[in-house]
Amino acid sequence: MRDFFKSAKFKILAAVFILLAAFMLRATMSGGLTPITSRVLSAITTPISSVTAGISETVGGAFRHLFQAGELEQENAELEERVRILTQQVAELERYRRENEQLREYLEIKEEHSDFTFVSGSVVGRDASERFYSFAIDAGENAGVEKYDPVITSEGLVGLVSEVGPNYAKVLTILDVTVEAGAYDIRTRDIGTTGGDITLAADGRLRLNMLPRDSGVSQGDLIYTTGYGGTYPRDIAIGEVVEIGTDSSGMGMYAVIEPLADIPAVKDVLVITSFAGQGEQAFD
Amino acid sequence: MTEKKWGSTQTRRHALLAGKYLLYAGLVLLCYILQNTPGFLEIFGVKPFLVIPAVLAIAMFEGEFVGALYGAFGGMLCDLAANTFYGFYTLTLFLACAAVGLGVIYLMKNDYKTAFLTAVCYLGAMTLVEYLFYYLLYGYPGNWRVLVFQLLPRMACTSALTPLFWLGERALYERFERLTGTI
Repeated sequence: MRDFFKSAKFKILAAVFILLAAFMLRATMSGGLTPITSRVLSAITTPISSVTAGISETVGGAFRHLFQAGELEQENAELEERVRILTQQVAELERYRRENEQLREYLEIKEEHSDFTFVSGSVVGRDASERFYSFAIDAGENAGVEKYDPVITSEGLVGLVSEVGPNYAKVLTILDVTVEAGAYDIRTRDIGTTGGDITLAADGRLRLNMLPRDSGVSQGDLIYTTGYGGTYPRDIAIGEVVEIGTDSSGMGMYAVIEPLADIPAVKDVLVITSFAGQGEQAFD
Repeated sequence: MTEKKWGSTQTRRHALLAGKYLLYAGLVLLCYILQNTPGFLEIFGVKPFLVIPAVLAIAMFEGEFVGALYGAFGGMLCDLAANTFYGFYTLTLFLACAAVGLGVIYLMKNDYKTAFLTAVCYLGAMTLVEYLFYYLLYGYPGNWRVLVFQLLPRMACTSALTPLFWLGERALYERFERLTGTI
């Protein structure tokens, strides 16, 4: 063992370690600025991830269909072959349908919020260490995406960009305990702040905190963003109230919200790269 | 004549070694892609790491130097997707693979049980660090749920897969050893 510590290999490894530690420190000091190593690796991995995400989805769909075909096989073997052929066609049509839907959603939101500038992205990665359904998309700096840009679907708010690389971006969802958004009840106009909750996140829900004690918020109310803070645009749908309670201090109320966007299963998103009032009170 | 033959043997050996290292890099990259593919190998919302067992297995056969370099490469890939600070996996996997490589040379038996225990030790330490610094210290209510329902199952899942990676790496390593004439 002593020989190893005197060897050239040890010296090289020590030098590599120092270099890596320097990269890490630089990345930490610069507040998440992606280091050169990330840029190089992401240039290789993101295009491949786009393909594999697509394959995974198609294969998943095919397995579901094949499973059903397996049941049918017992009744009628001929139908199995037809199901196989149809499955291939469905997968192809599904791809076109998604593209079409995405473009239609884009158009609808654009008509509703003319001040928005969008970039569309597909989910290409959900890592083993994902936090609260966070994910990576295949749009980054090159497409105009910046850190803290809001991420939505046509249903509602999904989260915000936490890190950007040249051709990818990482998205933290609104279910994350570190992500907050100013929100209001569209019926009562009561204002609060949404935030992730570990227990609720398991069911894909979040909390609307800091509601006044005499709040009239009730089940079924819709919650929208206030736009205060300049991180999110105003009037983006967040979710629907499913439960109301008094907070631990007894001074106010909270509501449990079911997001309108299907966050755990989201596949395509829109990143709002600019909107009226963006960054008026910068979030950092 | 003999010198010429010896030279061509050396060239073949170098080409095989280069091929082996490129294959390792390709396999680690493939593991990363599969690890990040939405829905792939996901059981009850838990996804195992594939890159970590792969680089640990490489380090067990290739030793501390090559192992550490592949550890750093695998770590960089993990950092690319993770929401932990940049370098979390790069540095820890670099050190872990160097330690595993040395451990197998001087202290431990190179078998699937060691591979499993190594994965348990590394992932146990990482799980603890991640839980402490990303959840417990912030005092989020119900943070134990992340540990019990997410971090520990992920660790168990990944550790359980590690012997398979060890077996795969052994087959690959021995094949190349035969080709290069070491065995």
